[in-house]
Order: sequence, then C-alpha cells, then structure tokens
Amino acid sequence: MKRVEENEFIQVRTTVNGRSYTFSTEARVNLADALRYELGLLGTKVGCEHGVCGSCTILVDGKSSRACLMLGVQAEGREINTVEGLANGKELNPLQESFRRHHALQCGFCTAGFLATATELLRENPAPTRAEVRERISGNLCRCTGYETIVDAICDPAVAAFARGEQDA
Amino acid sequence: MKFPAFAYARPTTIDEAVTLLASDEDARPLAGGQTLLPILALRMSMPSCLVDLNDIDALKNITVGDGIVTVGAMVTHATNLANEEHRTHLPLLSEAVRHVAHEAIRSRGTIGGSLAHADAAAEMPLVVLALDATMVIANQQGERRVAAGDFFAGHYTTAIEAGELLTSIEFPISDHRWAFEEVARRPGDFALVMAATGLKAHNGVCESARIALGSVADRPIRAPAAEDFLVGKKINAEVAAEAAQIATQDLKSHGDIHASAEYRRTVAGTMVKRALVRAATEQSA
Amino acid sequence: MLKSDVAQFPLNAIGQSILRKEDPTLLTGRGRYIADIMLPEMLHAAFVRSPFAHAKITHIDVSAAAAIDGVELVWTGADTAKYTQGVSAGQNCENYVHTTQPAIAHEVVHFVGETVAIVVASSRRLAEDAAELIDIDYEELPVVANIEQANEATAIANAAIPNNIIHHHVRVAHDVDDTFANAAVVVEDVFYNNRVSASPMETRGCVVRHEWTTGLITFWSATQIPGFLRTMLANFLQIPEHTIEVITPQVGGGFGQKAHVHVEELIICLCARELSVPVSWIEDRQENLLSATHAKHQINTVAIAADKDGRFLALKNHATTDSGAYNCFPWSASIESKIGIGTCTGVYKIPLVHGESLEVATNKCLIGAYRGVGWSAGQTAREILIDRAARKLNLSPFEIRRRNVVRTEDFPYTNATDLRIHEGTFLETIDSLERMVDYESFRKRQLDARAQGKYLGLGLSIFHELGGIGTRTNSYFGNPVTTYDSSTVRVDPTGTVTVTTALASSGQGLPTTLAQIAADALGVSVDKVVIRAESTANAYGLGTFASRAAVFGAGSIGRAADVLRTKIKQIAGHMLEVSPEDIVLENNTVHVAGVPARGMSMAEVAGAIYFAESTHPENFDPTMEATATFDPADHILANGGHAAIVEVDIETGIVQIEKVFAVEDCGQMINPMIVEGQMRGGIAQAIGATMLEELVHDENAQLVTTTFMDYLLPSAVDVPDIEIEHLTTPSALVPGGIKGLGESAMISAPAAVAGAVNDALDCLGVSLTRGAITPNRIFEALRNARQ
Repeated sequence: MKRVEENEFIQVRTTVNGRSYTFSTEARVNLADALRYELGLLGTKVGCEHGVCGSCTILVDGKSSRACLMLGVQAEGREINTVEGLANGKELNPLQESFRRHHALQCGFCTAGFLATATELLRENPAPTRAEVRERISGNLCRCTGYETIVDAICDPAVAAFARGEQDA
Repeated sequence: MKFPAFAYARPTTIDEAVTLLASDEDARPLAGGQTLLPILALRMSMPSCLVDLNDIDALKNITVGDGIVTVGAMVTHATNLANEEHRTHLPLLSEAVRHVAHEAIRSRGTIGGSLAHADAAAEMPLVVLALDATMVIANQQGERRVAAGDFFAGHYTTAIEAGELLTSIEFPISDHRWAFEEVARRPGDFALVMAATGLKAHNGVCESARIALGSVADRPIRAPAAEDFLVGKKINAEVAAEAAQIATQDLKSHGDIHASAEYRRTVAGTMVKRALVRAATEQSA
Repeated sequence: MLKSDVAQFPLNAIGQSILRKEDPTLLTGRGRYIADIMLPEMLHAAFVRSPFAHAKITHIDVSAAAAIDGVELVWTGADTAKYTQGVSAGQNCENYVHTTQPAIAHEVVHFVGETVAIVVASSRRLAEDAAELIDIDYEELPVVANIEQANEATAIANAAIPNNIIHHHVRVAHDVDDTFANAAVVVEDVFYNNRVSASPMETRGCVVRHEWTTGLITFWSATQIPGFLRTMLANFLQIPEHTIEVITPQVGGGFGQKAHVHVEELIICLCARELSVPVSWIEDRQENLLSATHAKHQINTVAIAADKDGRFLALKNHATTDSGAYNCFPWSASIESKIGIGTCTGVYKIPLVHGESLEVATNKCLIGAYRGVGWSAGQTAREILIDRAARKLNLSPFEIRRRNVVRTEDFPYTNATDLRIHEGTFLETIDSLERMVDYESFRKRQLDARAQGKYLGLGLSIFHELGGIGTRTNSYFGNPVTTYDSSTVRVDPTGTVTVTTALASSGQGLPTTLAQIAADALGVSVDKVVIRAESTANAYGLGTFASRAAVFGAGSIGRAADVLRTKIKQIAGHMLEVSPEDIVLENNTVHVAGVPARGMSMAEVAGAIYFAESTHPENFDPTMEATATFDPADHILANGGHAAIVEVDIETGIVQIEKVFAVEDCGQMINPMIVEGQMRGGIAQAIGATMLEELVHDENAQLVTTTFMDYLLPSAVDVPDIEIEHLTTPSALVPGGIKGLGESAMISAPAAVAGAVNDALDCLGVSLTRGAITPNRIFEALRNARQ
C-alpha cells in the first residue's frame, strides 16, 4: 500500500456487529472516534485516550482491544463487535440482564467496556471463578460500583448457561 | 489528546516496510500501537509517517528448529501467552508475558514493539536478555543480528538505526528452569522491580545460573558475579539470599514517584531471592 | 405549611430493591452523554493550559493559530475579560478572602493547567493542532509549592490572597492545656492526607448553543447542579437567567467534581454566543487530572488526651488545607479543613476541644468537593490515634470506642463543636462490626501469622454523616447559605405520574429511587411514574451533592404529592359518597378504606378531575400539578462504620486488602440494592485514596501525575468482597424516614484501611501518617524503624 499523506482521507470497509460499513477518514482518527462519529455507534465510550481505563474496549476479530489505541483505518477487513450488538433486538442478552439484576452498573460509562471483556472471557471459560473474573476485568476501571457486583453478574449461573450455549452453537 | 497529523502506509512485505522507513527518517513503525499511540495522544512524539506493520504476515510467524525458537516481531503478547510450545521451550517467556498489561493490550501489543520501545520497566526486554536471545534487524542492505546484551543502549534506546526494522527474535531453547518475579502496584502495571532467574542443576547442585534484573537501571541487566557464585552450590534459601545480595549490592538504581533507588535496589534482591528459590524448587527430582 | 413539613404516606415500593429503570439504556450503549451530543454546525474547543505554576504572560500571539483553515476562533484572557470577570467564590463569613478566577487567565497564571487560550475549530484534533501554534511567552514568578511555603509566605501564590491565607477559623477553643499535661495517656501526630482527584470515568464537558435570533441559550453540561449552574451562568456572564436552559444528559459519574461552576463553562458559553453555532468542549483525561478540582489535601495535627480507662478527655485538631490558587465555586476552600473541624469529635463524647482550621493558597489547581469532602482527612487522623490509645491501654479498638461513643441515653447530646446529636446507632455499629470481624479469632490469626513472618492488620472507623444538607447544616458549617430545592408532581390525565426535579443523576439511580418515592406518595406502581430531571425547564433546585438527593427528593415530592393526594381524596370522596378521610390511594386505585371494590382506578379519577367538571365537588380546584420545596428542620444524621483486614508483605511493601466490613444506618433505605452499591463504590474509592491515588507535584508545583499511568485508580483486584449489614434509625425529618448516605464510605473507610496497615506494622515500630500508603513509604518506614 502506498504512503498516504497527512490530511488525506482513506476509505475503510469494515463489519461491525455483523453489518457492513464503509467510511472515509484521516489515518490519525482513532477507532473509537471513527466508530462513534463516522458510524454513529456512540455506545463505545472514551475515558482516557491512553489505553488504561478500558471504557473503549471492543472486540476485534473476537479479541478484546482498546478502540482508543487503534486507528480507524485499521478496521479495514476486520470484524468488530461493540455494545450495540449484544442485545437480541429489544431484548437484553443474558449477560446484560445479569448486570442489571446484580446492579453491576451505576453511571454506565464503563459498562460497554466491561461487557466486551466479559464476553471474551466467557467464550474462553463459561464458568470462571471469582478470582479469575477479578483478574480478567482488572484492566477495566469502574469508579462507581466497587467491582463486586460486576463479579457477581459475570459469575451468575444464568450467564454460565448462556456462555455454554454460545460455545455449543 | 488527539493524535497529531501523520502520513500513513500499510505495507504487506518487510522490504516495502524497510523502504518506507529508509525514505523518511521521521517515519516510525506502528506495531501494536499500545505504546506508540499513547505517546502520540500526549503529543510527546510527532512522527511524519506511521508505517503500519499489521498486514505483514512474514513478521507474525513462530518457528522452532535447530534448537532455536524464532518469534516474529509482530507476534502479539496474547499469541505468545497462548502458545503451548513456549511453555516447553521458553517457559520464562510464558510466565513473564502474563504480567504484561491486560488482555486487551496483549491482543494488539507485540513482542517486537515492546523490545523496540525498550522501556526498562517492561517485561520483554528482561526476558530476551535473560534468555540470551538475538534480535534480527532488517535494513536495505539485508539483515543483521544483535545479541540482547548489545541491543539495549539506555532508556528507550536500542541498536536499531534509522531505516531499520526489527523483524524477529531468535531464542535459544532453554535448558534452564526459570522463575520470574515482579512487584507492581496493580496487576498489569509496569514493574517497580523484576527479576528472572534460570537454573540448571545436576543432583541438586547448580551447574549454570542466569540472573537478570529489570526496572532497576536504564536497561535490563544481568548479574554475572551472582551467576558465577551459584555454580557448584546447592540452592537453598540462604544461598539464594546471598546470591541476591551479590546481584544487587552495587546497583545504582534510580528513584521516581513510584519507588526510591533504595527501594529498587533492596527489593530487586528480594525478587532474585524469591525467584531462585522457586526455580530451584520447581526442578526437584 | 412549612418547607420542612414531612409528608406521611404508606411505604410500599420504598424498601424494595427494584431494578433500575435506566439500566437497559445504559447496558445497550444507548445512553447519551455529553460527548454523544452532535448538533448541526457544531464546532469543537481545545484549551491551551499553562505549563507554569506561577507566571506572568508577557506575550501571546494567536495569529498563526487563527490563520489555519477550519479554525473559527482563538481567544485569550483579554477576550473573555470583556464579558466576565470570571468565577468569584468564597464563604460569606468573617475574615474569608474571596477570589475571582478569570475565565481565561489574563496577565498572570496561578497554577499548571490554568486556561490561557482557547481554540474553536471544525474538529478537536484540528483545534489541538492550532493550539500548538499559539505563541506564548511567560515570565516565571516565585512558586508556592506546598503548605510549608505558603506558611512562610516568602512567595505569594495569588496576589488577591495576602500572606497566602484564605481563611483562618478557630471553631472551638476550650482550655485544654492542663488536661493534656495531666492525662494518663496522650496520643498525637501529624497526618498528611494526600491530594486526590474524584476522577469519574467520564470527564467534564459542555455543549452550548446560543440562538441569536431568540436570544435563548441551550447549555448541555455533564453537571450535578443544573439549576444552580443556570443561575450562576446568568450571574457571572450577566446574561438574563430566563434565557438559559441547562440540560443534563447522562452523566458518567460526578462524586462532587461535577458539582462546581467551572470557568470552562463560562468560556464555552461566550464562544457559542460569539460564533452563533454550537460549541462543544469535551475534557480529556489529562486536562481533568490537571485542572478539574482536586481534593482531600490536608495536614491534620491531632492530639487526644485520655484517662487510664481510655475515656477521652480532650482533643486538639489543627487542620490546614493546601487549597490551590483560587476558591472553587460554590464551596470555596472551606470545603476541606473548615468542614472537617466542624465534625472533629465525630461520634465520641469529648468534653474539651481546641479545633482550628486554616486554608492556605498555593500555586496548584483548586481544591473542591469530592465525596466525603473535608471529613475524610480528620476521620483518618482521629481513628488512627484512637487505635494507638487502645494499644497503649491494652484495650481492643472496639472497647475503647465503646467507652466513648454518644449513646442512646445521651440523646440529644450537644457536643463540643455545638452539634446537637439527636440520633445514631454508634454502639450498635461497634458491636456489629466486632461480631462481623470475629475479633477474637482475628487477633489469634494475627499472632499466628506473625510467627510465620506474615503481617496482618485490622483497622476500624466509626462515623456519622451530616447528609441531606440544607440551610440548617450549611449554617452549622459557617455557610450562611439558604438552600432551595423543589419538585413538581403531576398526576397526568391518564393517571400516570410525572415528576420534575433538579436532582440530576450521575449514576446513583435517582430515576428509580425518586420514582419509588413518588409511587408510594400517590399509591401508584413504580412503572407508572417518570422522573424528569434533565432540564432546568423543570422544577428548580440546587442539585445532587452532599448526600442529599434522596432527602430532598423525598421531602419535596412528598409535600407536592400531599397537595394532590388531598384533592384526589376530596373528589373521590365526593364521587363515592364517603368522607375524604375514608379514601385511600394504593395499587393504582383510589378506593374506600378497607373496601377495595368500592373505588376507581387512578386513571378514572384523573380523567374525571381533568375533563368531567360534573364530578367535581363544590369549590374544587382541579389543578393536578403541585410544586413544593423542602428544607429539613434539623440535621439529617446517618451513621455507620467500617473495618478492614489487610496483609502487608514487609519485603516489598505491597498490601493486600483481604476483606472490608461495613455497617450503614441510613434510616429507611429506599432501594437496598442501590444503598449497597453506594457503599461498595465508596469503599473502592476509599481504598484508592488510601493506598494508590496521589496527585504528586514537584518543587515547582508541576503536576507529575498527569495520566492514568501514574495516577492509579483501584482495579477489581484491589477491592475485595465487602460484607455489609444495615441498621435502621428512621429520620423524623424526612418522609419515609429516609436519610442520605452517598458519602459515608469515603468519610470513614479510608480510616479503616489506613488503620489496618498501621495495626499490621505497629509491632515493628512503624506508624504511617502520610498518604498514599505506597510500597515505597512502607519500605522507608520499616527501614527507619530498624535503625
């Protein structure tokens, strides 16, 4: 690929939540801003812009990733999953339901990031221990909940059943 | 904290990448971006061009042969962590990479990126030094090799020159038993101090030892006097403590807001001691 | 009818852990926060912020920046000075030095991070590019970098503050010297509380649209205080208040940091008016750490004198705040030390007290409100000293406190700072925590561990909280400010209930908890109630802070609903041919007491009220909307306690927090699930503030910790599982007996955590009185103790 100069636009084709998108942007726009402002997918939040807080965590080709530490143009050819893709139509998925049941969110700003991290964890391990969950979510910061109810939500048996079902599917 | 403007290229071969880098001395390779992009967000660096390496498949291979494990520079930490063969051939790498940041960072961050950035508080520079790895560097003339001991030149400084690209790391398959210890404020944080120790023993007596320290200087360091001291000894808590003392007594470390020089020096010793005891214990029978 | 009247209604939804109405929106990414607001023609702002703590701006040239294509405005302090002096703040009491922070710094900068210029452009990235081209020359001035330097007053941080003294106040000055001289036990020390940031996951931000054709301003802000912000925008910008609407989108956490009027809000408003297009400012994290209010930075010199039985005889507490360069608005620098001294005796009976506060100016970011405000630092100091006294006297930490807390038989007890304590379950809290901790077992475990070279520790803290802060409590803290909070309650024509209020939510669940209150006040189900708090088009009020939303919500909704309930009973009585006193409202129906079949649905009654005059009794006023204010008649006193068990690795200084125990008495809980969420979240912040978080400045008052790589927030591995129990002392001052509790954990849990580390290391001769308790500080303390 040849060098594209500053301020030139690059066309990007990507799949987000199973849907194809095309957009054009400068190379320097990060993926979080591209998802939010080019594609109108505002559910991914930006908390620090240096990869620490985890609010912007999404799934890229199934792997958790900081959207603020990727370029929008790096979405080319990738399959991205954001929080908007979790619900089944107008029904919260069992992980989201579990978060609600356990009061695993307060202001909601960090929640999309936690859901992405939890989704990845549960795919690998449908029934993690509380310690495993704490370690796995230690890269997502929450200022409101104190984390315990998030751990409760992820360890809920209904979530394990859902995760096993997803695995079998 | 938006990135400054930069030109952008995403080559698919090593040659293309080297050409792009050689043609613009202010161009920088973009590996995982987990270190470089925060630097750009803070506008602490303003490269003219980012050469995105993520489409160069040739940089992503892991091959084993002739007693060497070759790990491509663009192999991610997550890939290294998940790699089963590493647990046999390079157990130190498997153990240490667990301490690198968090899953979402490891899924993009690469071993090559970490080494080229050369943060003295990062795990990968310590690992390559402990394992006597060789860095393979490509340039327009071809390829050259630099041993780990010669690769790190100071804070954020390596032997890579303008127009060059780190392409792979060659690890001799280790015949030592390894243990890695680090102190970090929170899991995944940069280490306040870290140590890696490797032991080869016969009938409980040490034949060869490797001791490497990280986050105590401007680059990872080995402790040859302590390594020599251990040869011919049976490793127990006392011997480990004495080796740790030898390894750290002349250390002139640095202080910052997270830890004083004295803390680093003393606790580095504790890390060496704990790592030696663990490495010795795990090679029972 | 008085604004302190307490409405009475049966509790039904109140007390239930109802799942939150707002969650589906937030869980699906459909919540719209300030950064999600996109308007046609909207431009984006970026600030240039001072790199020096104290300097004259000798030259500023914006021409290169302004020339860039896409840049629409570049302003400096000279520009904003034409329209506003800035934010003036200070406490209205004697000897208080008021300050005015200019909107954009003009001629002099007083802290690193202060605004010196603004660029408004087509994108934030372009604005940041342009900002770098602004040419500014500074002439550095002497810096006041800490309290010691402020006291020396060789350098003056802000010329408006003579001798760097913002305020000095002696709250109580009993003669304590003899008592200290003759006491069996004296414990004393100097406690350095670390400067921290509330650090909500969402930074600050605002979007302003000024429509020149109507003169109307729409002001979106991530704020906790929309009503008050509106009034103060009018005040500081000399814009007619009625032309301003403040809209609160979803707010991603506030914790007090978003309960200020920020200079940036003034600046963006002026820019929007200048440009006639919407202007958006979304603070980035570095800006937030640099320039959003800091907190907790106090030095407390404390001494306690006790008799041989551990009874407290006297207390001395001198508290100094490193206040930064200006008073924050509206709290002023008094939010730390002065407030802290106001509760320096806590829940204990201490007859003789010398309590004094000092706020000094430094060349740092403003100190402002953060959960627990000035109470945290004093609480930590006092509880650690109480533990020391216990050790000296061979008493358990529980027993020494038992001997000193105000007890039921003492109520009402007026303490040395003139606080009339009329209720509280302090003794019960101590007993509960002792049982939860299993104290005897712990001490045994601690001894066994020590034999193995492991160091466990237990910390304890018992507290009460003056929440639900209204006029009375303001006055107690020396703030002669009247509070005004109201709600409007409407029964809609179809029998649903619409409530409007200024109690904006930033995560504490008000859309649900206030609905629970309104539901019970009118006998309808929670799903029939909506709470509208998003706009100042709604009922006016000061907002959500100081553990007050539940109290003011219940109080004002209760009073307003009372008016409607009376009328509903009146018309229903008429329609059902019974006396209004025999009518009850419950389960969405209005019926004869004891005879549910003889009644109508709320919908039927409402329809009749609105549209069927023939059903009305004589002289019936069908107005189905009522607005009422609320301001409690006395202090709202919640209480509780915390205990923490830690293990310290003395080789590395790493501390693991094994478990935290918490007891809370916040009267009648509206929603226990939400109460516990507040407790757990506050405890996590307490762990952060005690062990991890520290805003560090160098000798030039440069902030060194400007990103999350250096300012360390607690993660899921740093916060353990927390065991919680509740006590219930309903408040007679609030409908339902509800009290506020939002700040409780940040007032008290830091003391428990710090106390635990001190307990672990006391046997090694170590005491830690400087926060944060970092591995390095533990290491140094152990080393010094060995020498």
